[in-house]
Amino acid sequence: MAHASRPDPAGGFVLFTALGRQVAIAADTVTSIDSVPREREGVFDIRCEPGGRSAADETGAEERVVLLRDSGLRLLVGGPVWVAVVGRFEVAEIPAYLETWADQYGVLGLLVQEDEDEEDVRLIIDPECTARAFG
Amino acid sequence: MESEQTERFDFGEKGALAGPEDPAHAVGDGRSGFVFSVSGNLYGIDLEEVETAVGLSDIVPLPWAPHHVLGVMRIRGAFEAIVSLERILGTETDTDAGRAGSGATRPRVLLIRSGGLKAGLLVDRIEDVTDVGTLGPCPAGARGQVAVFSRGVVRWRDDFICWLSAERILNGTRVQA
Repeated sequence: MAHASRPDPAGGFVLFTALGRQVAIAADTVTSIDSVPREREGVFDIRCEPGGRSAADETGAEERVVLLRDSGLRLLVGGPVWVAVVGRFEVAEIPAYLETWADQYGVLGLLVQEDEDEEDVRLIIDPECTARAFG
Repeated sequence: MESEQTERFDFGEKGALAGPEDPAHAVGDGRSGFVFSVSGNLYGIDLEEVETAVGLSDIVPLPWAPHHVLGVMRIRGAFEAIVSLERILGTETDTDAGRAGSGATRPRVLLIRSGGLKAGLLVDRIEDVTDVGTLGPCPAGARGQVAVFSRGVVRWRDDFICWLSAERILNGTRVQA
């Protein structure tokens, strides 16, 4: 997988829970964010790491299905799901030591939001790459 | 907090201690470096291979990361990979698993560097920054992968300790394509 370009914070990010942790994807990769349908065939459940949860597991009230723009893939993600457009955040690079790992798993960078004295750090992921990793 | 994180071991880009030259550096073929402990085992590494030593702060875990990678941590404004030396050397025991410095009194991260690569070694305690004697070969039957990632052994006080190589650690453990 070619190394993707660094995400542009100006476009904003969609924030949610996936792979059992807080992640972000570029907002311009998303067509829509919908409620979870009763029939989930064709929906990739990426809430936990592979093997961490069964696709038949119940969904919570905050979970959503994210429709990706280019591929048309639908991803079931954990909530809360929200869009960050403005605010104090920075995009940090993945260290060179982990560059190959990042390319393999579609990790594009780190989204850092400052909140008073604390930092909230999320992985910025390529959602299509993540979905492929789930097979 | 930066002021708490960056202690007196901040060497900057050249990796040299600020201050007057230590005459001992110019004598013989001994070396200077950090001596540190991990799970009761002592190790050393060359001074010039350590960019900085900082206190442990929040490590952000990574999905699907190699077993020896604990996550990333911010050091001097940039995020660096933090790795477990025990897992790299294959010396981790069941009691050490997941410990990651949690039981240590003064856990530190040594940011090691070689050829453009950097990673933070999580250590329990920095024992000394000093000159040591010349290198000798690793003993036969050294535990795990110790011989693979070390330059040899040196004498420090009453012990012989394994002297690690940042180049071997970084190039030997990074994920390959």
